[in-house]
Amino acid sequence: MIRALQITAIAISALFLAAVVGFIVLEKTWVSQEPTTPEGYFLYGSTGTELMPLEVFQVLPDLFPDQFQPAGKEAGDWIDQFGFIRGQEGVNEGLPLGMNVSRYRPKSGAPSPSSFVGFNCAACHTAKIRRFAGDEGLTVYGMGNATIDLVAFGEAVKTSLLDEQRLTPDIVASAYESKFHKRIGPLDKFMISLWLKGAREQLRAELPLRDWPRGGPELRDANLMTSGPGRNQPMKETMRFLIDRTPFPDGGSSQIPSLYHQERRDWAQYDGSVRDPLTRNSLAALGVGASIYNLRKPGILHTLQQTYEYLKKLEGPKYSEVFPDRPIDATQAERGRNVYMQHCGDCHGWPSANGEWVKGKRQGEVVPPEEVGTDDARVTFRYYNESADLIYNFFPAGHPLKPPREDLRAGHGYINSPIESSFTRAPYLHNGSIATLAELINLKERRAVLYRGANVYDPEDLGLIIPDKPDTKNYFRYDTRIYGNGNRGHDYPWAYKGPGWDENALKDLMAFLKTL
Amino acid sequence: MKAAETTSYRITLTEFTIAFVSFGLLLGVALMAAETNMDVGMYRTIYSFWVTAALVIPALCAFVLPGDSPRIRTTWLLFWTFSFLAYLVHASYAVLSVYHGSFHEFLAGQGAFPAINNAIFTLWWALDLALAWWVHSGARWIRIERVAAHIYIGLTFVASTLFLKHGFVNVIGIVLTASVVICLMINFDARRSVKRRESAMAG
Repeated sequence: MIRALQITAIAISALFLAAVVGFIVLEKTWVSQEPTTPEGYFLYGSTGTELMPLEVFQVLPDLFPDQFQPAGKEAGDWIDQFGFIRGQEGVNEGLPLGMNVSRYRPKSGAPSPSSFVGFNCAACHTAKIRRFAGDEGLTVYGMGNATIDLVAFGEAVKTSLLDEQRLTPDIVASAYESKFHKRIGPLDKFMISLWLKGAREQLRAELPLRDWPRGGPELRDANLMTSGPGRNQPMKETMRFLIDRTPFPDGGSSQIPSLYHQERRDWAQYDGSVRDPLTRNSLAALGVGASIYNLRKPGILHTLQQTYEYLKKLEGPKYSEVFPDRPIDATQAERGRNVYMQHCGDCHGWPSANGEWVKGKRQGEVVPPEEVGTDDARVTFRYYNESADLIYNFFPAGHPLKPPREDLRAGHGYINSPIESSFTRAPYLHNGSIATLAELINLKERRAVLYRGANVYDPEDLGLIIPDKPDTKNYFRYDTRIYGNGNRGHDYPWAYKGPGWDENALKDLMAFLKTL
Repeated sequence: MKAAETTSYRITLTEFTIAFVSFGLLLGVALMAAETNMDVGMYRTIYSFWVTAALVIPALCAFVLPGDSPRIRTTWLLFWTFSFLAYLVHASYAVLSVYHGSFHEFLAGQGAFPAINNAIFTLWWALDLALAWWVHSGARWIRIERVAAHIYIGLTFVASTLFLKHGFVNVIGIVLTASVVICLMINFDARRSVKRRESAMAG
């Protein structure tokens, strides 16, 4: 009898252990589903920025309308108010473009039985061109999203998560059941509890670094949320994850750039400080919540690699395709080409007859702010000189994304880049301080104050239509006199109404720029 | 102390059951318990170390206890073996999950001295087990090797469970240390009794 019991105990233990081993093998398959094309990775791949369980994300804006609809319910849902690009019903859980669903646990990248929502490159680098008020808009992949207010959205999320009274697993389950008429399974609920506890601990641990998050009406106060739509604070975030410090001065905010034809850029970032494109992609992901650990998970690493493949040869749209009812005067454009070749081509290059981009003499050169005259906050923040070493040392030896040291540098200026599809790159300069191309080339006087948000596109001046005063859609007061927001410099071909200023030549140049 | 054996071990079903069931259940629970954390690999590394430390307690005690009964010998061998298997699981997760199979990361994460110490620790334990299972000799060098291995491995466990790591592992460390100290005292007491008996007989 005892012998039988002993054999049974051994068998049960062995079976239990075998079942655990089987479970460990099987759990790897939870994350095995990956997109099949580079575009699929760009739109739906995980960059390791898992934010919260899908079920929580689906009800959080309903539980916290004060945070996710800071302009009031009548001003639209959270997708409208934070400038995301609305997705399709039935595709990717109906989430906005650039929000991916994965089975990775936040930070570690361990397989999860529940789905998590995160951001990928498409959130910031997919945009809509709204041709008139009420226009659904034309979606352009790779275009910098000038409407997304990602910093404010992050603050809204953090404020909500820290509210222990209004956000508990039971409240989430109840809200989910009311909204979708189905229950959250026990495993998913368990994961929600687990995640919420960890997320709160992490947020509290980061309070000395980041301070208590802003919330409610503060999210629309430009004095408090200095970044605003279409911009982020890359240098501040980079220093935070590199050295756990908030730099002061912090480098200000940067415009989210368009990412066409990345193979034409040897050095990336506005200051030409990173040569390796995967390092650039990983720094962006790290700034939005990825970790040094999960970036090496094959599925996440593939997203960074395949996204670069996608962006290498991505074409921006042509003006004539977006505005077919606004033909470009070919004669004027030809005259404008001459102006361009005389004043712009050396730095930005130009398209040849066969569509290839011809490299200008100074293209790829980093121009110091003293020469180009633009706002220098982006290249003079604290720790800027040490940034290349800090990035290099951040990646441990053997990490698949560790760049060669020679692929990092402090550029001390702004890099001259090609300007394909230039009309879609509005607003202009690295900080997005100039609303239109007409103002950038000084055909028109630059505005000191812009109201930014979901601005309609201006097909004449090539850029954003800026209202005279703020409204619910264009709520953000962009003051060019504030640190990092300056719109001075880049006075090419000529300073506004300065020596040599030629209005007709500038109009010709505008016509040519429409053809890029 | 059973520093070396000259005969093979006769493992009874009862002894094997106690050791294997302890190993199977504790390790299985440890690996599954890690699922309750966001960093599963890290916690599998931590929890499997707890299991190793728990399983090594009977092995160290059996080694230290006086007497040379087959039961004590096989208890030592089985727990010494299963704790090593649990340790291999711990080491595998540490190397592959925490250090991502990267020697550079392993060295950077541990520091040079602890990394070398860990390598010696693992190799020595493996060597001692190989000798225990396959070399049934009472050779002096094996006796010395075994005592030295237990002192080194035992002290490493005491240091890491009591001083180098913090949290629940300290409870295991206290139990481990107390158990070994009690077993040592029993051993010394038994030796003293033997000496007393011998001197009484001589007197």
